[in-house]
Order: sequence, then structure tokens, then C-alpha cells
Amino acid sequence: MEDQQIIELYFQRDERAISETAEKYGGFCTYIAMNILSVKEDAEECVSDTYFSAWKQIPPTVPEVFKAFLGRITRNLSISKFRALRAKKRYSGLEVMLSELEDCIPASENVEQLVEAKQLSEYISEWLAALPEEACALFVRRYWCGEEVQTLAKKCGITAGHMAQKMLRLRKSLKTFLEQKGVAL
Amino acid sequence: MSERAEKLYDGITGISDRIVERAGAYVFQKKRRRYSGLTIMGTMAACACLMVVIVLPYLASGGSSSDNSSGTSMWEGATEAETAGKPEAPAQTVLDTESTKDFTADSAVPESSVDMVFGSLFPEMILAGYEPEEGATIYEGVVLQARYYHETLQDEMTIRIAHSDWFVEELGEVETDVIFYREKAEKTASYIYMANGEYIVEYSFSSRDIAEIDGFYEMVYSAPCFTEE
Repeated sequence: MEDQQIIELYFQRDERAISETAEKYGGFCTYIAMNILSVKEDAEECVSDTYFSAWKQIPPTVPEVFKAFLGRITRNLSISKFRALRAKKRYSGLEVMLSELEDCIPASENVEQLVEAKQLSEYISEWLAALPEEACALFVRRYWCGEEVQTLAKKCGITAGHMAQKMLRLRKSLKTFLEQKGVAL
Repeated sequence: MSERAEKLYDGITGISDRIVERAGAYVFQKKRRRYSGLTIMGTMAACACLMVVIVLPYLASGGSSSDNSSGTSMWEGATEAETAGKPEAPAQTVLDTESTKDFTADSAVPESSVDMVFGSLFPEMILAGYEPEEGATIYEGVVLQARYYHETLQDEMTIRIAHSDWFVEELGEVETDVIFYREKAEKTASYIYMANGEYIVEYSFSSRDIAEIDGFYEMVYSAPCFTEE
């Protein structure tokens, strides 16, 4: 079923919207949740909550890109779970990702603005849009979809070490960009 | 884990849908690091064909070759050792099955080079600002490849040297000394195949136009084969 048709089911409050979403994007959402949480039960719970959240948001929200909309909900739910349970559980996928993201945090000397998440997203989008296509895809696959470095390396036919080097360069580039914008986190 | 990293995570979560969609649809181009069994078989088959076309008529005309008029392809059923042992195999034979060699980009250049042919074609002067990414590698004794990265320009330069037969085998028709462009979302990649005798040296840039790179041809012609007359 086309995304538009699924969204129409949500608008009609037809419960088939959930099953159609699960059929089409269940695998994608589970992939993201597993990459982030790396605990099967918690990932499955996040995915179920994703459908419920989509049900609550549509309408009135009309997703521009339905797949990205669902993935975003899954990411948000995953980090919420991490925040709630961090004392009790270790979510290795997210922990590794967050430790890598430390490299992107701009130095605080040139702080001009303490940005909100939305503004920060706009800056990151601007930076991504200016990257070569492959670099942009790598960053998004790693830090949005949570794909592991080894998986990406395999897809590109290079070593994990080489891929880690590419990722480090991207993180440094983002850090420089945010510093140029005078951003503080 | 710091709250700032989590804030960054939230920032990444909110990036444009279109960027997520495009990144999800992007198909990565596999870099040729190791050859699959199928590729090796294909390469061996190509070499066998070359042998049939070039070497056998030569031997036949010399009158010293044995009768080898079997209709089956030569590589079929031949063991690696048998094939590698053929003395008539061309110098740049793709039958060479030596393992991959990694070394520094500097040692790819000239006399002391791991490989004399590759070394003589490898530029001695690399464009300013480009740093070697992971040294240089000779794959299966057939292709030398070295990657460089320009941090400021975020551009990757790849130098690849191989016998022209290899390029033809891989790419089909290869037009040399012409700049090609590959359109990307924001930038345009460019690449060129420079013919040099039986060899081709490929220079590719992930986001720069070769035509506008100062010093590009100086780099190309800094290879010892041009400077050592």
C-alpha cells in the first residue's frame, strides 16, 4: 500500500492503518530500535509504541515522508527508554553512538547562542545538505539509523578502521561547522 | 554520557525528512578491496582468452609450441599453480595471485618501489593539502590504489594504476585523457583516465573539477616515467 493510502487510513481512524504500517515499516522501525537499544524486547516495545504514537499524531499531523516520520518516533522513544532506564540497563548501541557524538560538541569559547533542538536540527540539516552524497548518507545511516560502523564498512567495501576514520572526520567537520555558527549545547 | 551528546542526538533526530529519505535510498559504491571468487574466475578467464588470442598464435608462428587446439577454454579446470606457472604469461598478467600488499604512499614512488611499473607511474608530487588516507595497496599484483584526503575541501582523491586490459575488463570502453563528471546532490565528482603506454592511471576526485585544479597536471607529470628521460 502506498504511504498516502496508509495516512488516509489514519485520518479515517481505520485501525488497518496500524497493521499496514507494521507490514510496510515494521522491519525498518525494528532495525532502528535494535541499532539504538540492542535489547530485543525493549526494541519491540518501542516499535509497538511507535505505531501508537503515529495513531495519536495523525491527524492532525500529515507526515511529509512517512518512513522518516516513523523512524523519528522510534528514535525518540528509544532515547526516552534509555533515559528512563539508564541506571538499570545498558543499551550498548546508543551508548556507543552518544560517546561518538561527544566529538561533535562545539568548544564553548565562541558561544553566541544556546540553541534549541529545533534550531540545532536545522543547522545539522544545513551541514548535511552541503556534504557529498556518500558522506551525508554515511552520517545519517550511522547517527540517525544507528547502523554499526562495521555494517557500513561492509556496504562500502572498506575496512572498519577506514570507516571509523571517515566517521571521525565527519564528526570533526560537524563540530567545526557548529563552532562557526557560534552554537553551544 | 553527557547531556550535550544527548542534545546532539535529539538535534540529529530532527533533521530534514528529505535528507533522511535520500540517505536511506543512497546505494553505496563498493570499493574494490578484495576480489570475490567470481571476479577472480572472470579475470582468469579474460587472461586465458588473451593467451589464446596473443600468446598461442605467437608460439605457433615460432613453430616451437605444442599443439593446443583444444576447444575448451584454457582456464577451465586448471589449478592456480598450473596457470601461474605458464612462463609465457604477460608481465602484467592478471593471473598473478599474490596476496594484497599494503605499504606507505611514499614507498609507492619510484626506484625502491614495491613494484617498478607502478612506481614509475605514480606521481612524486601530490597536490597540496591532500594527506594519504591509508597508504597504498597493490591488489592481487594487478592494481595499485592510493587514497588521499583534503580535510579543508573535504575531497577524496584516488589514484589507481593498472594495465589498460584491466580497465577495459572492468569498465568496458575506456576513453583516456578526457575528464568525466559524476553529478551528486551538492557537488560534482570528476575523474580522468591517463594513458601511459600499456598502462592507465586513473585520477578521481570526489567533489572537485579536475579542470579547475591548479597543479593537477604538474602532479600527473611528476611521475618518474615522465621525469626520467
